Amino acid sequence: MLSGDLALYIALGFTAQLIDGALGMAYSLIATSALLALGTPPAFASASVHAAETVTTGLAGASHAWHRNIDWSVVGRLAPAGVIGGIIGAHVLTELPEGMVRIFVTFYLMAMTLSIVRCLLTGRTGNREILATVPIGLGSGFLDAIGGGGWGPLANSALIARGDRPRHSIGSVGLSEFFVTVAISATFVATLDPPNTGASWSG
Amino acid sequence: MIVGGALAAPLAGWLSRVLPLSELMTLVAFILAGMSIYNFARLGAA
Repeated sequence: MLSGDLALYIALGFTAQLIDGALGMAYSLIATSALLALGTPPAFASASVHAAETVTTGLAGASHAWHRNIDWSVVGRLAPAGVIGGIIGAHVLTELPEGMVRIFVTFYLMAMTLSIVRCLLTGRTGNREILATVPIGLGSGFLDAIGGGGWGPLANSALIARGDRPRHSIGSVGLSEFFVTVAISATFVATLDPPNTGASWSG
Repeated sequence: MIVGGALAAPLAGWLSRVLPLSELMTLVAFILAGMSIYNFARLGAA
């Protein structure tokens, strides 16, 4: 029989992944908020969510591939761009003013929300030349790595706002997220200073 | 959480496929609006 705590964490992981997998966003927000509400220390909550996300993004990507929710031409450009943006972001993490990044991401998400609502109401979509796949991947990976906003909401909102089919945007962004998450995590691990030595793991 | 996520992943992919276009976009817009408000609240609290 499952213990109460174990069942609770499985239910939490299930709920967060169901929403994130179906809509392409909000795993970190839901999981981290719930863990903090349960009394988990912030650093432990963040580390747990990122560790779980590395696995669940891979599973979600496989599920979207199985259900044919993926536009492979988008993944071919989005994933490499996201990986490059994520690696750059992980390297410059401490050199950017957090407040400015948060303000930018807040207004970006608002603008994308309004674009999607306009698309819903009028059928008009954003400019595909302005919202090109590679810049979206670079920017979303970069901002995801520096903690300014999640990969899912940043990339998905832009793709949907420019007129891509939501199902294919969500699937393509979901599969690309696996590569971006692994790249960012690997960069963080490679550049961490081990305790007591002060030396960089990457030299 | 990984076990929960693994159980949900197949269902989530299926949901993305079967949900009607307008409902999927409405749900995405709803989540984005929630995140924007959440970010605003955090900015205001800072």
